[in-house]
Amino acid sequence: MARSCGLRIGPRRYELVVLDGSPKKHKIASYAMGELPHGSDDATAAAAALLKAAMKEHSVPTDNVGVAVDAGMAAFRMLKVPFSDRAKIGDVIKFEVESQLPQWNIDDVVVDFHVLEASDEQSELLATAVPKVELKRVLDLVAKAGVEPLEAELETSAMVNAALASDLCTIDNAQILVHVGELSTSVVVIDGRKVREMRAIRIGSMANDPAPVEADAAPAGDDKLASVLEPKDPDEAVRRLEQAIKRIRRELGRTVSAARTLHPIDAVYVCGFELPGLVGSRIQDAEVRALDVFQKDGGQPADGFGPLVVAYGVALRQLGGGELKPSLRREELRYAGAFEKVELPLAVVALLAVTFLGVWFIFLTKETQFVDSNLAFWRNSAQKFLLGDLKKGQQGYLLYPSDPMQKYLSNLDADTERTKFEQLQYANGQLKNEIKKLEKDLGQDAEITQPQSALVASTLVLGTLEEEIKAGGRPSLRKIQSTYSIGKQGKADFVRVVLDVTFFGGDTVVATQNYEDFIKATEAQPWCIGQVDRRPSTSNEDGKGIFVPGLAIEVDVSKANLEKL
Amino acid sequence: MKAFFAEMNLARGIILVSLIGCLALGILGWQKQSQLDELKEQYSSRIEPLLKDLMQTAQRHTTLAKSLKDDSLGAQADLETYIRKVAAKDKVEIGNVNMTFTPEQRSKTVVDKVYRIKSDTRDRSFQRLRIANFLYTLEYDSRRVKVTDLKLEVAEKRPKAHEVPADEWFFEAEVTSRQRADG
Repeated sequence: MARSCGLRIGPRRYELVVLDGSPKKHKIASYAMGELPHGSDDATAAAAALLKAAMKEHSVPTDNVGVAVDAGMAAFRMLKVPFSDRAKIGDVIKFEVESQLPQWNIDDVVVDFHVLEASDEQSELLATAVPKVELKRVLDLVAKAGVEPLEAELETSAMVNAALASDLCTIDNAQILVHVGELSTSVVVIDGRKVREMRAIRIGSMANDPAPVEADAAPAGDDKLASVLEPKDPDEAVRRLEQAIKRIRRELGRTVSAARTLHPIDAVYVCGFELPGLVGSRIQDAEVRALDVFQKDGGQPADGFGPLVVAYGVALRQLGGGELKPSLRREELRYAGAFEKVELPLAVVALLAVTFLGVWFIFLTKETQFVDSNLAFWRNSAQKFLLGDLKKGQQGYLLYPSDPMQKYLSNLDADTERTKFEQLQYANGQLKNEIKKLEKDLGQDAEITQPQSALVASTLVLGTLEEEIKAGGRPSLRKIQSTYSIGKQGKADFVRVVLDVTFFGGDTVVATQNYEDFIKATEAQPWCIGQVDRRPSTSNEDGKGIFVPGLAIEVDVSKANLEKL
Repeated sequence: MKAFFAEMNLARGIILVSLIGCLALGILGWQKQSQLDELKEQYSSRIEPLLKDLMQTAQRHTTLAKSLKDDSLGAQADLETYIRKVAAKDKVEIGNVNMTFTPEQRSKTVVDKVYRIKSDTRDRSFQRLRIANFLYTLEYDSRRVKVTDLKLEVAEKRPKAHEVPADEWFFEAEVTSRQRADG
């Protein structure tokens, strides 16, 4: 549910209304009114503290506060401009109204306007001018109290908004709305729900009060108007009040008689300070009534609601209601929220941040280029190593690359998706794939092991036999059979070499010795599996040697040192 | 946010543009920093081992490619033709040989292509050197060929144990090339 606060800051008093709900249906959540300290040096600080305490006590929504200022400080002027566009009117209004405000320098006032009548050709305007210094004093006071009002307006417009929101004003009658302030009385002529005229009479309920009321003379939040009007001499106070009432009545009488309304004036509605004998009387045949704009059971006090009308109108406007949209917060007094206050420093910080990031990015780019050029040196060196340098007539170490590999390595710069390191990594990977394929083609596939060579096994055995010849032995080979066998039951592959061989010697003893030496030499070899299957030998007929048939030797070729062969 | 755009001024414009710029530069800078970190790491610690590996790979590639190029079996249509070519080579000159082909399935994917080689003339003998040259060349010219069975017997009929027979031999050999079943 939306919540808003309307403040009226008068010369001597304040009123505060907090509304809860919507523009159509709402309720006064809380209200307060009281006197503002004045006359002393620290009156402003004391008034701010008073307001702050009041706003805290009544849980004022600090983000949605409007303020109405004394209409007595404003000047109202009627003027016509030959166009109806609001933006254009806004541009020229000060220039147009300047000649009608001889008492002020136009730069020292805030000028707002309300369009009374508009056609395509011209607009009739009601311009309001308020001295900036007066307006700023009120805004500063509220700001010191801890709240930044979103908008500021005059008592007159707030009163009109409050009245139009009630069912007092209809399209077929006219009214005169009156707000009695401390030092001035605001008067608005309404005709058929349209504003016809606004003025401020510089007589208020306290206009003739000679002695300022002391700050601590009346308790804060007190709604007893009587205390305000309570001078030190009661008789003198009564006399002055009567004079004020007479003068106000006289001015209202002039207003009623001078009013040019299309509809008959229904009544004079009075709010603000209660002036004895005014409500219930008649002015120029128009009945004077209290301006009761509040909804039924709307949270307003049963009696003494008059001073709350203006604050109520302000709160209503802040809630989104109100037909008049005056704006006195213009030019240098324009509303500046928390963000607005810091946006300039923030812009500078943001600009610095983007500059810093830009510089950082430039440095990063430069450093990346430097490291990349270092990598390029390595890559180009590797390229030369692989492919050689045709200009210098140097051959590369990669002699038989595949066509795609040759093409890739020749033009590495074309590969923009990879870094220079990744290009080399990719080339290395591709070469390894080609190596695997070559190994397969060459039968060196790790998955396929070629069988052991029976030729190599025979050579190993015969090599050992040859060592015996060198040592003085004289073998003579008759037959050799060498057969590869696949290892079974966990046994490695092997080659079985079977020899029929004659060992010669001076006699059988020497021949047998040669045979034994061969057996020992064979069994000492790393490729010999187990022990040689010794076969019985037979002596030669001449007795100078022995014949050994079927001498079987199992050879594991994989354990042989083939480099020696 | 709506109010921010509704009351646009120079400061707000600068803030907006700067924030967008900061966001863009932040993202780009972060990407660039990641790229730089990666490049630095590649340059400082990874490029040298890679180059060493690449050099070894290139040399290995060249060796293997050269071997394949020189592999006679690789250039032949089949193993039988290869054997016949080797048998006819200089310093081998075994002449025509009889071959019996027996494929042996070792596993689902591996098959042994086995050729039994004999001289076409039963009584024809050869010097041991010639036979050795033949068998050695068979293995030397291709890494995919192995002699898996070899039988050498002196050609002289029943020499006495104390006699030294002449260097004439009968031979019989078995050559195996282990290959993938689809190859």
